[in-house]
Amino acid sequence: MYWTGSCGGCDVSFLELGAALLDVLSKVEIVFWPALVDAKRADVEALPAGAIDVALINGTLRTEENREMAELLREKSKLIVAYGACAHLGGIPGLANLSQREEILAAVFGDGFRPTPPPGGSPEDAPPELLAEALPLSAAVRVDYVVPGCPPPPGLISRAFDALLGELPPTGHVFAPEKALCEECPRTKEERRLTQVVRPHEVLPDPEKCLLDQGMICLGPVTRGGCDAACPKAGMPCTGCLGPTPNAGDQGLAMLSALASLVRAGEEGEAAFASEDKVLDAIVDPVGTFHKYALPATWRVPSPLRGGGSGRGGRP
Amino acid sequence: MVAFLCRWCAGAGADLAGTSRLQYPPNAIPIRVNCSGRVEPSWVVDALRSGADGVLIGGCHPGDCHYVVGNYKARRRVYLLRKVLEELGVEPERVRLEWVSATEGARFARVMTEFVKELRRLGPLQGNGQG
Amino acid sequence: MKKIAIDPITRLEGHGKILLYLDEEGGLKGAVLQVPELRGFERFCRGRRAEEMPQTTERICGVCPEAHHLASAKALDVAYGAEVPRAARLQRELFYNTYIFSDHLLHLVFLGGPDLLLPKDTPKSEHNVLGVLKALPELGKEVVTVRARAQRVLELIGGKAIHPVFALPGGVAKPLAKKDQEEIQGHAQVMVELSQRMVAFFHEEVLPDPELQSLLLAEEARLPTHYLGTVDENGAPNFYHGKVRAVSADGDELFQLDPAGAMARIAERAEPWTYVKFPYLKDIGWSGFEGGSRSGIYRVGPLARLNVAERMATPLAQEEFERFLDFFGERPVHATFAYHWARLAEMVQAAEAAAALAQDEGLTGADVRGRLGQPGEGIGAVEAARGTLFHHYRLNGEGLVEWVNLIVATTHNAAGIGLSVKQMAEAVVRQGNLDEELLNRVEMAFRAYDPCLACATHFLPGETPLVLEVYDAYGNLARRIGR
Repeated sequence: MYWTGSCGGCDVSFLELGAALLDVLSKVEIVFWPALVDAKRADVEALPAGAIDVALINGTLRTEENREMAELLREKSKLIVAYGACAHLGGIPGLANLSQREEILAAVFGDGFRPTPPPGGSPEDAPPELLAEALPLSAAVRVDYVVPGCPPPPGLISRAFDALLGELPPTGHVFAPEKALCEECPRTKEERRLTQVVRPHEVLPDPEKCLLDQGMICLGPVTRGGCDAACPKAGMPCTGCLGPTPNAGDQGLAMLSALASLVRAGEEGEAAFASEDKVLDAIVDPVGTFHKYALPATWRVPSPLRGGGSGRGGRP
Repeated sequence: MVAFLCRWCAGAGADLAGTSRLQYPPNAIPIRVNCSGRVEPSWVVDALRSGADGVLIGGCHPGDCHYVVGNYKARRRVYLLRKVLEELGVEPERVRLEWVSATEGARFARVMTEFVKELRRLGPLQGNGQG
Repeated sequence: MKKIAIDPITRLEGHGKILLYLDEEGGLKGAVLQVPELRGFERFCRGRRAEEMPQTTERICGVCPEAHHLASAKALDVAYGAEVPRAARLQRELFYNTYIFSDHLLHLVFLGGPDLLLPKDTPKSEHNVLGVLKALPELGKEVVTVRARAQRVLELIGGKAIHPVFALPGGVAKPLAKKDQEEIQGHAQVMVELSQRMVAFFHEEVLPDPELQSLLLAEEARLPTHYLGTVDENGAPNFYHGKVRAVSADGDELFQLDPAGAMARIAERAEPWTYVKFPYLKDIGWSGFEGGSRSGIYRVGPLARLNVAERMATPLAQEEFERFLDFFGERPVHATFAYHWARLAEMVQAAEAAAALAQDEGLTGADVRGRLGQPGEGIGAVEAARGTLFHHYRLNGEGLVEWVNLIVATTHNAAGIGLSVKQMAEAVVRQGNLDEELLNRVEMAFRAYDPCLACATHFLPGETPLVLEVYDAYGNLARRIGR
């Protein structure tokens, strides 16, 4: 288990297994897990290639060091599992790709910030450079399996461990249902059209009805199930952390497409165009809404390193 | 540039432009679809990712769609997609939706000429083909 | 010059690294705490929908997402000029006290705990939850069970235990169901009972150890600084709400202000060798990495909160507070290892407060959303387990975020952690012992703060995985000390 640019929630998610965690721990030998054992990077480097059976990696690739560790673990492991939304899709830190790396540093530290060693230190004591963009794990190394979620729900963690300790699924398998989250949501769906878009703080939703029907942008239709519809049950729309269903392809664009299909402002036709646009204008941050967890998996940032320009403007 | 053209209207309009020997820039890779309402936003993005500097979606005029409301759906999708592209720093003008009927060969040629001119003004999409 | 890098390259959550520089004579020349990680939340939150901020910023930390979730919601309450209805506030407070309980419990038993709780001859490899379960099976198992019940409370109110979703500007997502309240009451009662057992265990089995007592009072683990924390109208610590109070190293009140006023008294210093910034009290100023009354460096967290408080908010916690003050016999208490004891007293208060809130009739009230005004600017603060957490947003007219600044708990303490580590290392270096002992002591000083850089170490490990690398004057690796 290793983390790159992450929040630690993935590591803590194991604790949510409760007693089952101790059972899992008794069946495996932990070679490397900074949160649990004292093995170091050097210990991993000393292992022969493929010596580790499974490496679970969580977090966004954000620094050069993150990428080096991913490559090191790939070399030493038979299987790599992208654990959690950041490793799977880039995650919320991936929204940083809407800006240039230099803008990010300037926003936090002011203009002209350059990482340097501490006073009296040698050059290698400087903090590692940020990568030009946040990346999902699969951008650096081959990924065998995915445990999705932010963080992965306990049910999916167990499912993954059962498989890893038992019969392995085909490469590329995502340990989550293929069905959309809507299928496990207890809310009742009726309307198949949307006459207004509302934001969660603007209305107190009906406790029984589908949130999308009530005008909230709920990513349930394009997102995998596996969390027992935790957010919609809590009165909040799904923001898509479990990633796209196999049918959805690009989760955000699929949602965009579905939403545009549902929008109505009276009888469809030329006369309704302006009012339809008004309904759509209520979606004030489409990228942050549709691609909250998956921006790096969908779009790439223009980068001087890749021969792109340095100004605003990007290549999806 | 990639052009998604509906087979009933814009596609037929393109054919007419061809058989009428109208001159227009040869920059488009045309892709025939049954209806503009069938064009998924992800196809448009795939085209841009794969090196296109712009995407044209050609559909029927309002009221003429063979599937009644497909072109309305396409319009709403493009409207929203352009907002997404803008937020990402991609000029929304790179994605264009045009109504072209089967009899409007001249209009089709004009649309192509204008769009190519517009894309030349915008220049290549950054990082082109490396996404 | 020699360099010692304590580099948990197999890092801690939030990625921290300690560098110690030795001079030619082997004395300690400098010590720095480096955070080699940056995700840029301040930048990419711009342009996002305001109401998403509680869910977005909590991804800063998966160990204390509850703190970010509510600091964010409180900043939004202010930005929208909203009055939070009582039922919503009760939900938030109950949720929040449960989080403090759960988080402190983890640290006490699974992280800091093994040092204190386990018999002294316990092998290092068992200084973790598994070791605790082996040495103290009954207590260990009870802790695991009760922690799960606390997490269940968080889930019932927050929607999800890790990365909750319930807080919105001006209130919460939905009213709490009656049956959920009843379930929560049962869990909260057990939380109080466990707190009492923990206190008894500490006083009967742990504190009597003379070795521990000398450690608590050791000069090299005493760091006079100013302190910052939130208190209620009676001067008791309050984790969710109140005035932010600062007390000087000499014990004088420096200010007591609402979060916005307090944040204005704090300046941040950036150093190019780390991605963490160092806050200091603006009125006193930055005078480099040093403690004392003339330095602007202050500390936050459990010790700081007890130092700025006059009393605790609940009876059992008050008893523990009095024992704490009797033992140290000074105010403020500057002993770094007093953080652990302060954490215990706070855990008791959090459990008692949660139990009382769970009984409140108003908890299931239907009115959970305050009226929102025009979006503007707002500063919100809560006491995270590790200290005061500020969120500051400016919103545009559409309710999109224009600008964000955050000061997180461990950031406040970053300078203090560096100083404690330096003190400890100096003492050990003076004794001429550079090996295991240095590693041990430095690690303990670091861990007393329960640093969020090491958030994940909250959970299973009994020890922070550190490696010391000692370099000779030419930068060659001379020695490697590790476990």
